[in-house]
Amino acid sequence: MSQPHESPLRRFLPDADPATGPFGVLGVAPDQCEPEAVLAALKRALDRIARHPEARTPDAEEVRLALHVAAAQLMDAETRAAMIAMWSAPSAQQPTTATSQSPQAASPRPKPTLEAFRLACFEMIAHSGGWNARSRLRVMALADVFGINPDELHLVFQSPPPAAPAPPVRLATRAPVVAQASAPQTDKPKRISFTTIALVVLNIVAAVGLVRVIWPSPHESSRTTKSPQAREIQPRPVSESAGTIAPITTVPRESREILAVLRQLRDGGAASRDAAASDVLLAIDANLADTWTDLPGRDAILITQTFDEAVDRMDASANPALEQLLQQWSNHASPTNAARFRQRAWAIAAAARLAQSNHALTNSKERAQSILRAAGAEPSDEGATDPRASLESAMRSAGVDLTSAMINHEIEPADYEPIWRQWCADAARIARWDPPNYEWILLTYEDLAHLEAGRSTATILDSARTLTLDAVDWRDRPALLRLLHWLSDDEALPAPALATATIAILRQRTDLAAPGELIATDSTVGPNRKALRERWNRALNIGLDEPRQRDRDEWIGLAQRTLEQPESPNSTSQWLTMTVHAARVNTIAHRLWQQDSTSAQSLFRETPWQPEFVKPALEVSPVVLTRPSDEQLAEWSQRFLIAGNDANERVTLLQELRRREQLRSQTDADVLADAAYYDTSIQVRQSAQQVVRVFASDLRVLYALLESLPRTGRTDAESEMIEGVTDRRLPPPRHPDWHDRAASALLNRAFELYARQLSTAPDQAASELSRLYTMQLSDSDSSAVSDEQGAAPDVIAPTEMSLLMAAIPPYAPAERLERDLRREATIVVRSDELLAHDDLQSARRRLATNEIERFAVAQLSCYELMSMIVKGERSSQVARVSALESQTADARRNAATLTEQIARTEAAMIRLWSIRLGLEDRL
Amino acid sequence: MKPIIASTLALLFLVAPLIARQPADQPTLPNWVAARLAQLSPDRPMEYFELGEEVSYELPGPLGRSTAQSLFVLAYLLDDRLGPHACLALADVTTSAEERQWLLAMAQSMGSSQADSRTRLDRSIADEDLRNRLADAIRVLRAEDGRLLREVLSTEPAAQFITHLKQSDPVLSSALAQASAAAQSANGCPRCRNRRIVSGSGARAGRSICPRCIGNPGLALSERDMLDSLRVEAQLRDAEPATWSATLVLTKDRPLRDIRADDLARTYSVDQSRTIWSAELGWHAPKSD
Repeated sequence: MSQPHESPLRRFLPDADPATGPFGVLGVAPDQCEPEAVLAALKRALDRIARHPEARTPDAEEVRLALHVAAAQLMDAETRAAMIAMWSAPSAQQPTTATSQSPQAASPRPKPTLEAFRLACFEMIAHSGGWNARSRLRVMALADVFGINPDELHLVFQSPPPAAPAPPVRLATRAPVVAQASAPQTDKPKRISFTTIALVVLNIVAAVGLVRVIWPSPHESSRTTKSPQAREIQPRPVSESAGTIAPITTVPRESREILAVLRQLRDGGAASRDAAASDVLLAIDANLADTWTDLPGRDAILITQTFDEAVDRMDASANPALEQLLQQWSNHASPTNAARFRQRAWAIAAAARLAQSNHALTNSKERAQSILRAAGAEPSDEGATDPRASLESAMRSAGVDLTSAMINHEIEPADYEPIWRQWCADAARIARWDPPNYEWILLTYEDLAHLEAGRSTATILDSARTLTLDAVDWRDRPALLRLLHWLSDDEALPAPALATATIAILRQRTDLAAPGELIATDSTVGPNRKALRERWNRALNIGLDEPRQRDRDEWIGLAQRTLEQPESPNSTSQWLTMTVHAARVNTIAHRLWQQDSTSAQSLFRETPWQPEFVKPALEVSPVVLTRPSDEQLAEWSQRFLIAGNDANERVTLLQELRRREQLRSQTDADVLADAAYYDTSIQVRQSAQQVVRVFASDLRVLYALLESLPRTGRTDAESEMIEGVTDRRLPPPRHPDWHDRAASALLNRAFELYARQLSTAPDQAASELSRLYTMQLSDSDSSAVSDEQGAAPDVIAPTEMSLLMAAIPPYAPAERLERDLRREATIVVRSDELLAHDDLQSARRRLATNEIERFAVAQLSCYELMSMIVKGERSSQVARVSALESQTADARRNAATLTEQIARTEAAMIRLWSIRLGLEDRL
Repeated sequence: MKPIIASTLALLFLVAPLIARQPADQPTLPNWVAARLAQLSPDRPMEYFELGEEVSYELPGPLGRSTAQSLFVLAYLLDDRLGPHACLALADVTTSAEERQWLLAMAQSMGSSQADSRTRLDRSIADEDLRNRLADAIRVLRAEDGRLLREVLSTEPAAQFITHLKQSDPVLSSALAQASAAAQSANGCPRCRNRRIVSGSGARAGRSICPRCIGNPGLALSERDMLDSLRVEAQLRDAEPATWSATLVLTKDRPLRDIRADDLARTYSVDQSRTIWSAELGWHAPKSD
C-alpha cells in the first residue's frame, strides 16, 4: 500500500480542496462561480503559485494545469451547471482530502474526488491533443495533484457515473456522448492497464473532436526534468502494439495544439511519414509563416525548436515531403514576396537554421543555402541556429528588403505604409519577448539609415525610420547603449538619421532634463557628436568612463587654481604669465573635448610656465644715445678720427675695435657707423661693416646706424649690412623706398634691443602662447601655421634677436583657431549672427596696428565664437553664458592695459570651457 | 524779535548774491540751441541727429562738441538705423585720433561703407612721403640739428598736416610742436657742426674729437623724452617691431578699445532713458516733464 504523499495542489495552494471538484481547486463557491469570478479565482491561484519558491518546478506546472482544467469546467455554462448540481448534493460536501486521511487508512478516495479527477482527466486529455505520451504523463501528474494514488487510477474509469449526468467535455457541437462512454467497464478490482484507459478515452476524444482551450505551456525542459514525485510514478511502458495513435489529419491552429502535433511528428515514427502527416507539417509551416509573430514569445520559440526537430526528423528519414517544405520556404522567401514580410522572415529563418544545423544532411543544407542566396540573405554564423536570433535576423532582413522594394517602386508607397506599420508592431512584440531585445530593431534602423530614397519616396522612408524607432522601448538599457554607440562614431550612423533618432527618443523619454540640448542636427559630427554624447551620458546618468572622469576632475582642479591667482597683477609680465597659465588650462580643455586624454595628460604633467630671467649681455640706457660721451671712453674714436685719410691705419684701428668685447662709448658707435656708410676707402668701409655686424646687438650701434643713415642706398654691401643687423629684407639700394624701409628696420630693431634689456618675459610668453594655441588646431591647420612666414614679411635670417621671436607669432594660430571655431559655429549658430560677427571682426582688425593687438583681436573673436557655440549646445546655460559675456566685456573695458585685456579674456575662456564640458557647477 | 529779523535779513542779503551769482566762466548754450533742444521728442530720432550736425558746425568748442555728441548718441539709441551715421558724425567731432579710429571701426561694424573712405581721407592729408620726411627730421633733430625739421614744417603740406593733427591727433600735434620749438635753435653742435672733430690750434694743433659733443652731437634728452621721440618717429613711420617686448615699449601697453555698440552711450555718458531736454533739468526722462 502506497503511502499517500502531500498533494502538490495542497503544497502550492494549502486551502485548496480537490474533494469538492473544481470549486475546491479554484476556491470558489458553487453559488459564486460566474465566469468573471472563476477567472479572478484562477488568476489569484496562479499568482500564488508564481510567488511560491517552487514555482518553476514540474509540480507547479501540473497544479497550474489542474487549475486551468477546473476553470475550463466552470467557464462552460452547461458544465458549470452540472458541477453545481453535483457538488451541491450533500454527499458531495463531505470534506475528504488525501492529506486529511490517516496514513494507515487505505480506503478508496471519496467519490467526489475521484469524480473530479475523472472529469479533469477528460478535459486534460482533450487539451493534450488526444491520448499520447504527454497526456499519459499528465494523467499521472493530475492524479498526483488530486492526491490520487496510482493504484486507484483504475477506479477513475471503473466506477459508475454519478447520479447526476456527467458534465460533458466542453466542446462546441457535440452532444454529451461522454456520458455514454465515460468509463471503461471492468469487474476486476485490479489495476487496469493504460491500454484500456487509452481505448476508452480515445473514443471520447474521437467523438467529441478537438477542444479549444489555451493555456500557457510549460517549458519542454521542465517537462523533461521530472520532479522526484513524478519519477516515482512512472507510467508503465506501453507496448509497441499499443501505439495506435490517431492519424494526424487536421491542422492545428492554437500554439498548444501546434506544439503537440509537431512533437508527434518529431517523435512519432512511422506515422510521421504518412502523407497526411507531411501535409499537416506543410500546413503548419504555412500557418506559422503568417502567424508566428502573433505567438507569445515562449510559445514561438518552443514551436520553432520543435519545428526544427520535426524537420530534422524528416530530413533524417529522407522524407520526400521535405523537398515540398523547402520549396514552400523558397516561395515564401522570394524577393518578390517582399510585402509578406512575415512569410519571408519565417522562411528565411527556417532556412538559415537548417543551413547551419549540425543534424541536417549535406544536400538539405545546400538546398537551404541556395534558398537564402536567392532571398538575398546569407546566413550569419552567430546565432543562426538559435530560434529567436534567426527570427530576429530574418525580420531585419525582411524589413530592409521590404523598404528597398518600396524605394525601387516594386511596392506602391500606399501599400507599403500599412505593411511597415505592421512590421513595426510585430517587431515591437518580438522585441518584448523575454528577455527583451531591441538590438536587431536598431540594426534595422541603421540599415534603413543607409538607404537612399528618391524624391517621391524620401518622405515615406523618413516616416518608416521614425516608426522603427517608435517600436523600441527607450528605457531599455542596451538600446540606450546603442544610442551612445551612434554618438561615439560618425560612421555608426549618419547625422540626419541620428537627428531623427534623438527626436524620436525624446518623444518617448519625456523625463529627460534639458531635452533641447540632446537633439542632434544634420551636421552633428566630430567633436560636436562627442559633446552630444557627453550630454546624453549625463541625461541618462550612464556616466563617463573612469579615465575621462579623472581627466575632468583634474582639469577642474587646475582651472580653479588658475582662476584663483592674485587678482591684480601689477606688471605686464604678470598679466602675460596669467594669460599663459589660462591658455594652458584652455588647451587641456580642448584636448579633453577632442577625447585626446594622452595629450591632455601630457599638458597636465608640464611644469607651470614661468618666464626665465635672462640678464642682458649689455645694458645701454637711451640717454647715452645723444649725450656726449666721456672723453676718455672715446679714445678709440679720437684715434680713428685723427688717422684722417690713412686707410691702413683706420683698418688697423677697426680690427682693434673688433677684438674688443664691447664698445666703450656712443661716440665709438657713431664713428663706426660713419665709417661703414661714408668712408672714402672701400677697404675701410668693408672693415667697418664687418665690425658693425660683430656689435649688431649693441643698441648704440643700431642707433648710430639709424642716425647716420644716408638718404639713399648706394651699395649692396651697405644694404646687406643693414639687413644683417635688423633681420629684415630691404629693397635694392637704388629703390626709392630704400631709405624709409631701412630707417623703419633700424628703428624697429632699436626698440627690440632696448626692450630686450628690460625683459624678455613678453617674448617668452608669446612663444608659449603660440605653442598652446597651435595645439588647439587640427593637424592640417597646425602644419599650415608652421608654413606661414614669421613675424613680418621682411624678417629674414635668424640671428640672436630673432631667437627671441616666437617661431610662429601667436596671432597666426589664434587666427587659425578663429577660423576653426567659425566653421564649427555654423552648426549651431544662426547665419545672421555669424555674419554680424564677421562684420564686427572686420572692423576690429582695422584697429589692430601691431602683432599683439592682432592676437588680441583674434583671441576675442575665439572667445565670442565659442560663447555662441556653447549657447547653441547648452541651451540651458544661455543665461550663464550671457552673464559671463557681460562680465568679460566689463573687465575688458575697465582694463588699464592690453595685456590685462588679454589675460581677462583668456580667463573667461576657462569658464566657457567649464560650461561646455558640463562642469559649470564645479567652478 | 527785531534783532533776529534784522540779522536774518542781513544774512539773506549776504547769501542771496552768492546764490544768484553764476560762475563767470561757465558756458551756456545759445538760446536757439536751447529752444531746439526743448522741442526734441523721442519719436523723432532724426531731429536729434540733425540738430547735432548743426551744433557741431556752429559751436566747435567743447560745449558744442559735447552737446553734439550727446545728440548723435541719442539719435542712435532711439533708432539704431542711425548708428553708422552717428558714429561717422562722432568721428568728425572727436579730438582724439584713437577715438576717431574706434568710431570709424564702429561705423564699419554697423555696415557703414564710408568708414574706409574716411580713413583714406585721413591718410591722404599727410601722404607717406611727408610722414617719412617728418620722421627723418625728428631723427636728425635728436642729433641737435633742427634744420631739416624747420625746412619740412615750412612747407604747405606740412602746415595742413599739422592743422589737421590738432583736430585728429592732439598728442602727435603737441609732440611735433615741441619738436618744432626745439628745432628753432638747433643747428648742430655749435663747435663741430656735427662733424665730430675739430681742428685745434696751438698746443692742440691738429684734429681732435669735438670737445663739446665728444663726437656725439645730440640733444640732452631724458630717457622718457628719448623714448617719446623714438615713438613719434615710429608712429610717423608706422613702425612695427617684431617682438612683443618691443611692441609693448612702443605702445606703452595701451588697451585695445572694444567695438561694442553699447559702449557709445557709456563713452559719452548718455543715458538712454533721458531723452527730453529742458533748461531747468537738462536731459531727463520723458515722464519727469
